[in-house]
Amino acid sequence: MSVLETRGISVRFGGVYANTDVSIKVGELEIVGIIGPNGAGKTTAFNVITGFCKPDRGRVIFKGRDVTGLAVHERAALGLGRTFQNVGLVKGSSVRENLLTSQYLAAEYSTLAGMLGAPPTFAAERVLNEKAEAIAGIMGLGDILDEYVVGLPYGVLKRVEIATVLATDPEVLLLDEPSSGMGPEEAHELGNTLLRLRRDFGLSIAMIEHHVPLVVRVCDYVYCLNFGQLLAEGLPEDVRNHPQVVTAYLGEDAEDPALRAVESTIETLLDAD
Amino acid sequence: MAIDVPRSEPASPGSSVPPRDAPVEPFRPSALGWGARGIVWLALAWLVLVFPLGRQGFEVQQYSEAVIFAIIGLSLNVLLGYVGQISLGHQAFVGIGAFTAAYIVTEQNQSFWLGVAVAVAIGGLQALILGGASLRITGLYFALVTLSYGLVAEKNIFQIQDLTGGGQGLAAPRPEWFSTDWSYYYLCLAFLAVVLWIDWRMMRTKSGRALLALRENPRVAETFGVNVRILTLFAFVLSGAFAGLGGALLAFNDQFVSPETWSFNLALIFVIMTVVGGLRSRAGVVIGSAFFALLGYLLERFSFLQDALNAIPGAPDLSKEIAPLVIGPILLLLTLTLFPGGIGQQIRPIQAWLRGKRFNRHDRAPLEVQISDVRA
Amino acid sequence: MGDWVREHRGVGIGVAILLALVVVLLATGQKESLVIGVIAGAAYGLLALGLVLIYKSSGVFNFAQGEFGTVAVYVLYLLHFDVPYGVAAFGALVAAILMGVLVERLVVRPLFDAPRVTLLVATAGVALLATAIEIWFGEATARPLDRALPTLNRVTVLGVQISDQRLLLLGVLVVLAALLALFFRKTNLGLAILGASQEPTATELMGISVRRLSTLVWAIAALLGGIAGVLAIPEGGGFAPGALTVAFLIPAFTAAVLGGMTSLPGAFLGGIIVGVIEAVGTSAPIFDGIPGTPGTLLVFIVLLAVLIVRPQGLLGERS
Repeated sequence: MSVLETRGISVRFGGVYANTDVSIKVGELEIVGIIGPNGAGKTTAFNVITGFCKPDRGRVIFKGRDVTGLAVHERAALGLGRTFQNVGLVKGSSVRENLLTSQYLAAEYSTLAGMLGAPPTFAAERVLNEKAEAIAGIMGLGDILDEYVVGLPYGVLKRVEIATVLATDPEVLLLDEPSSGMGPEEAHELGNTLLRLRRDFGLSIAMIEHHVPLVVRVCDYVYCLNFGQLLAEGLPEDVRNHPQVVTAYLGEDAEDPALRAVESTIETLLDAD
Repeated sequence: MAIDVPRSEPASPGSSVPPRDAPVEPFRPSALGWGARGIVWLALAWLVLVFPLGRQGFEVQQYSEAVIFAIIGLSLNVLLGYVGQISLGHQAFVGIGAFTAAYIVTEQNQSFWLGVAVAVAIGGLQALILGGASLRITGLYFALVTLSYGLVAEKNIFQIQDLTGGGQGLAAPRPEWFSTDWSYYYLCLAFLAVVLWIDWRMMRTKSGRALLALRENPRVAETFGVNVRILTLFAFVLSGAFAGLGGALLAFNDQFVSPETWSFNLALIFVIMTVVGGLRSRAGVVIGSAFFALLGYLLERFSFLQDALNAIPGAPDLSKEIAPLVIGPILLLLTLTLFPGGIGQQIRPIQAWLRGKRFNRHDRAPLEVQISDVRA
Repeated sequence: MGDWVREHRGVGIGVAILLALVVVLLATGQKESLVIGVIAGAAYGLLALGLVLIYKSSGVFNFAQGEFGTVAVYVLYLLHFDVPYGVAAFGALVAAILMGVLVERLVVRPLFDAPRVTLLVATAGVALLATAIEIWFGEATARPLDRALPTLNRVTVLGVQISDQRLLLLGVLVVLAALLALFFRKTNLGLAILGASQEPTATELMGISVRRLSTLVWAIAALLGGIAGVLAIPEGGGFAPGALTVAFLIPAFTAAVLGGMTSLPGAFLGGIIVGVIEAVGTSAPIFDGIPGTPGTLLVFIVLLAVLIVRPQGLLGERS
């Protein structure tokens, strides 16, 4: 039973076929990886799923419901959360404020009441703050709750972003290159975190990734995109060794022994865990 | 003999939050510190509440105008600082509020309070319409639209015979209980307090936070479940409502409304006072607006200032009408180039001190919000 | 053939609109309004040329464009008592250019890398400052100014008598629009300016000083504004502080938007159209019911319509 599904998504920007007939499934409590070279259309697929982009053809099914016509904020309300390639946070605010902002839908008072300062507002705000603190604790951000986002190191920003999305109470999490900018140790930590979050929050996750060891370790299923089309799908190991996938990344004949030697050396270096 | 120099701990590997020492005790001022702060608070309160009492009528009218300008500044701040849209036609919002209120009281013989209420509603309504346009027209071009709209207000709307006395203007008599200048001043202060309260509470709750997110990163705000369109319109309405209120109060302050007041120059003064005040800083905007409202008057009162300006060789006397128009742009350009956070940025350390924190000259907001952050 | 038509569709639409309006005015016997409209449009077009020039090269909406003209007029007025008119006009243009260079050095340069909105507000401030200084030194009164060409040869066009000064304005506009368009397409300097606006770093790496180009552009734009002032204001009866900004800037901006903010010929065409639309507004009886000046409302509607329906204007590039 898939909780999130795209059926035959095609998107065209002028002369560029960003996505052609892309069908992806994320099962309940699955972690699905989406890999492919840069420009393969992975983020476009995410944009279609979350609602930032209207597909020319195809449908997006979320929790059994066709959401292709819904706006971004409506899909967010249904439980679809997402992170961005260049860190989607309110940089001018503190970590705490970001965690509070993302709980926009959970705040139990009307805008008007908030503006007038009606008493229930204060109690509701306290609840939001408690949840913010709880999530910050889970992600190891308790110390920096009141630091401004703009000054934080890049790796920490990624964690803050995940925490912020968690605060929206999602059922499915779409992560766009969560490990970018991270070294091998941090990426390993991230992998642990994702597994933990899946377990503790009952999340299903789809993630765009370049970090092969992370994908192999954490994902239950992998899709590979190239030139906007699905190149291969399957278990992580199978997809990784798929000749066409290798060609797509390296652009050469995968059987070339010299190339294989280079490739395995790179893999060894990346495989620090 | 070798001396042992204490070594610092090497940083732990991997990028993570730098190790922190044991939690620092929050700073608490000493008794003397509290005393000093208390005196400043009292002085401020005295200045605002007591000082105008003993003054002559006309002078108090100036102070009322300063208070009303503060309201207008806060209304423009919602647009410029919170939403991030430029309005070069804000004088139209204010002017329409003024004429509406005067019309309701003079032509329709209704009470002052109804006049104010309708002015607020109309202000919000036209802002809603303009806000709708802003959803389709991007920042720089939207500025042109507001500019053009301001001119339409001046040349067409304010010439409508029935509504505005057709170029003659409308009278706007004060309400019974607040007919004296100083009582009207306190009324204006009360309205300012209401506006400040609403603004403060809004920014501390979900809609305010959503606005800030929207301004900086609309896509991220959407993923938080924020309906960007509705929120933008809401902010426009709020800005328009405050502006309508300001207009109504201005009308009854002068007890007369005429079309000539609402010129393009005034629109620029409004923008300048908000930007120089400092976007998103309520205190800064209040101070900036009051400063510009009082500038001409202060020049007259303290003639030594005027003498100083007149000392510029070859220049004729700088009358009080022109002073804001000359000083304003200069301050604006200084703000844009050198002090992006305006007055608000400069007084931030003072504000923190007054709230009981240590005085830190280098206290800065993380990202000074600049006029440049307006979406274009 | 089909391609040519499609590419020049904007021109077609513009000319069609213009012809329709001209026909309306002629049919209702409003020849005089038509001629006045076209001449006013020429002034708008001149200012619009300056606006588009600056926008094309730096993305800035120059709110001070009108004031280049007003300052020129003030200098013309001050000088023309003591020196021959032509010399005074020349002095006025020099003053305008100086002001342009001054603004570029003091305002545009420091904010070179700032977002365009900051510059929009900054130039608005400059316009206000210029107006204030005009009031300060020149008092807020309106003054009369004699026409430039002393010969009173009135030419008859369509049965309407217009002075050759007004024809000169129109002629100057046409020539300048054509020259500028050629300049940007054919000369190295023009191409350099365009290149600098899109890729400043690459341009610098090619050994071209982007900053010096900027000064040149603002000088030219100021000159255009000065010419508009010197030709359009005299004979209008008089001028007051902020004259060109109050009466001309918004129609000029509308003309630039209508023509397409990136098109110089578009500015010219847009200017004429806006002028004629204003003339229709003032003279057509159906607009009598509109309080105040109907032209203002019509121009506003045109601006809105263009931005909502066809934001790139008649001849601009789709962004």
